[in-house]
Amino acid sequence: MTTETKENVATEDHAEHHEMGFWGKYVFSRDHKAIGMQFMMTALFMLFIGGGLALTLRMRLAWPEAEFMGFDMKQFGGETYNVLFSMHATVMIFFVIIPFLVGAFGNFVIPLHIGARDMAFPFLNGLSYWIMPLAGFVMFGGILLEGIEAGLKSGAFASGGWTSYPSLSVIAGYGQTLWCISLIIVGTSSIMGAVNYVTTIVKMRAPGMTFGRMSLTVWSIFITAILILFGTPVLTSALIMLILDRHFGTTFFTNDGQPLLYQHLFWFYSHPAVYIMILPGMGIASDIISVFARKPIFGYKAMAGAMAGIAGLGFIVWGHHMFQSGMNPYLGTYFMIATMMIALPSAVKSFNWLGTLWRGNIHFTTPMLNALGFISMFIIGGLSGIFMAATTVDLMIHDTYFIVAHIHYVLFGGSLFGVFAGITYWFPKMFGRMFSETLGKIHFVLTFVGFNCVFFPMHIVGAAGLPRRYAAYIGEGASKTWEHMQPYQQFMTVSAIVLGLAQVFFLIALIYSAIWGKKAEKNPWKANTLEWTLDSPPPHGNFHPDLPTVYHGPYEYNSALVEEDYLPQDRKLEAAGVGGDDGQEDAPSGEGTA
Amino acid sequence: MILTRLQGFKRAPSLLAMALVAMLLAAPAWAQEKSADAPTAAGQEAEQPGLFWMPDAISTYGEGVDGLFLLIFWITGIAFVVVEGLMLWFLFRYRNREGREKAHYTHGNNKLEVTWTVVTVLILVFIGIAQLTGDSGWLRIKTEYPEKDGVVEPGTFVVRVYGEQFAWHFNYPGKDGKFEDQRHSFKSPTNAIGLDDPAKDKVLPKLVVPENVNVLIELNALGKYDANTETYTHPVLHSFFAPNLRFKQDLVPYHPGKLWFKIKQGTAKEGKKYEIVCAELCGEGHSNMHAPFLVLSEEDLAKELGYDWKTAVPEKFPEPVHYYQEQKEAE
Repeated sequence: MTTETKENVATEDHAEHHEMGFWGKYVFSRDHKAIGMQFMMTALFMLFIGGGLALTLRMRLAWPEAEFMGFDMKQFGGETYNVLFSMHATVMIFFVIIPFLVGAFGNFVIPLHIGARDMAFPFLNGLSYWIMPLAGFVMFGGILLEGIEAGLKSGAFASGGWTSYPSLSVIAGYGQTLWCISLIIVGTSSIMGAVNYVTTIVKMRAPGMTFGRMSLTVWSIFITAILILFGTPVLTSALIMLILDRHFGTTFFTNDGQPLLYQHLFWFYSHPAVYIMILPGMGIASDIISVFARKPIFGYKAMAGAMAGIAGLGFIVWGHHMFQSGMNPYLGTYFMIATMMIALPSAVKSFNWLGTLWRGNIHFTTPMLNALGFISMFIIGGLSGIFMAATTVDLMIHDTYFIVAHIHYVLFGGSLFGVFAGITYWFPKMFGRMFSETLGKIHFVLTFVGFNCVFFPMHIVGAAGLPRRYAAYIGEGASKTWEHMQPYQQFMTVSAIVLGLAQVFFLIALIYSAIWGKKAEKNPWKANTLEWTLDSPPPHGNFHPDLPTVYHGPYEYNSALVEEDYLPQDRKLEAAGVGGDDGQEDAPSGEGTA
Repeated sequence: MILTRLQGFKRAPSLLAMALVAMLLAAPAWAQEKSADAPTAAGQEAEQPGLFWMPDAISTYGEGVDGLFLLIFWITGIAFVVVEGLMLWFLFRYRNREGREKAHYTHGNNKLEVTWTVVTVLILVFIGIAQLTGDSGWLRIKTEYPEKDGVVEPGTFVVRVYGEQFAWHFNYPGKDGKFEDQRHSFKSPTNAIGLDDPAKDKVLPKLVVPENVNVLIELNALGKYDANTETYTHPVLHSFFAPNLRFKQDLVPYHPGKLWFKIKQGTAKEGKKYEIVCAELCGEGHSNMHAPFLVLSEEDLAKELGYDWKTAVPEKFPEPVHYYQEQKEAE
């Protein structure tokens, strides 16, 4: 099937433009842009919940027996502490990072980038958002039922870590069941979104928009959606088995069942899930780096191929989370080698980002700074991953703060900087106004410095063996081995407060810019992709009256064919012989170092 | 191309890069000095400061594990300096400024892609293989037990370890050189882990081992007696983590695991106190679940155990009885 002759499915859906009330426009909208913004706002809100939980537990770790503003830190020990970090991780992973990268950017960007009027299934798309608040209410259902204090006593909140390994999760309070149900709902939402993304990308690209002319953001979300489709059902099945074990007397994971079975099923989803949480960030960073280096992305095919490679390998490396679980050591050997191999595509991507910056014309805008933050922090996260992939070294650092450092370098330093880059980059399209450069840069510097001060020392204490998920490392009943490292804890906590305040500052900057920011023109960044040919913000149905026709790849910056340093994807060149397929296929290889 | 570019190499970034490399080189030395100042677990002067801030390595494979850590540290450290250094240099060198209006138009370079892919693969495979073989390799640590088909090698110090919420129990075979059967139903206030005849074994709340002999440990997760319901809850996961051994392994409910180590000669006379801690979330008391771990001379060990362990090496571990089997039998 050729893309040129294709009828846009959503065209009919949006042909008539009836008046929509407040509810239709902002709450139960079926417009992909509105749904994307809803995901973004929800994720932003949850970011502060997750952040608040993180700050509470950091305070507890630094001064476990002190008192702050009427809060006795002693009360945050034991089970309460377990609730704090379990909820922190669950909120950040399932209600912040995934909704941001997959829900918000996936929805907002895909149709605009591929030249479609909307998603393939607008109602399903809406539904995928509408059930998210439901998942949130179930997760924190204990607050509604009993209130926070009573709920903590009666086990109304999950406390088994975001991994919730049985048997602890089988004997835990009813909050664990709520947690399972909530994640099943989140998973369902993810699947609905993913079905939509895959269908839209495969079937609804504008004429001329071949797969080879798609932006890397679209590629990354396409691959992410495939990961979600393969992985999420497995997690759902594990959660259902856990519920059955808890309430219906089955013994999948207990008694004559196998506790490791849960771990295998859980990581079969959750390892690909870490790529679900980083791939869209990679795509967004790639696009932004190319725009602000005013240079085509280096090795477009290698970039897309590396992401596909990550996705493929992502499904055969889950066992590296279980090296010390008592799993067969020979199986561990296999998983180590496979895991070493998955470092490869990440390395290739990093080299290609460097190649993109090389001999560019680099503009340090806020989105660019955040994208560079993404890349530099992702490199650290990737390198520290090699330590844990090595089975023997993992003997020492498994389940220590080293892994906490690693995951935050990837998920905060990586994904969240990708989110900040994406928000500030598409802000003009979302709100019709520019994100304040001054405020954006202040936020970036504060976050970048604060982030490194919080998480870099975790490598050091982790290498010393400091176990994670401990409510205190000093004081009564605590282990004595790491007492001398308490100053690190306090330093990290002080830095975490700065980091938290920087995010409050981001919220203020966002609100300020949305209301008083400079009015945005159509193409403030002089970028090539299709969304920049539209008004800011684009109208309902995006492209009117006709769908655009695409003539070039998305990264034609500083091409010799045109005078300007950019060449929009839908601009037809009049000169004979060059108007056609002048994308990356054309570029003579070897030119780079010629 | 790169060489001609190098001529434009400005002084400031090169100084910065040199400073970074110097810092990295100095880091281990500085760290060692630092950790020598820091008090050790027992609050005594450390005679052999560990690498970075790591606690002393006292097992025969501990230093090898640290060596592998260092190997990766240097490889990734160099990669870090090169990649981030290049990035900073590019950011500085190719920043938008007056007189720099155009970027170089290129879509990539296949030769370069293949080169850096192959080089990275070779390095990663090298790191991977380095983990596996040798005296401190993964396979030696995790598969070469001083035991064959359930029969313990003579001269091996054998301990059964039980982890429950939230305590460690260390079960030594006793004078008769035979472990007692263990059942939940045998449990009583004076018989914490439920041995058939607790008088015949030695149970301590701490791990004591001799030096320079193979130590073989069986790991068991123990269910907890709930006084309210008068039932035993399911055993949960724990992890046997001995930072000084550079070893950890989970205790999997219903599936006993095993591990081995050998303490370096000369550790006992240092007389330091080490710790076994739990490294897998096991509930509200997780952070308080730790036990003393001592390396003793033969005399001190005999005093602690009440018998000479060498004359009482058990031939094998008894078959573990699962809690669910007990339940079925009770029905």
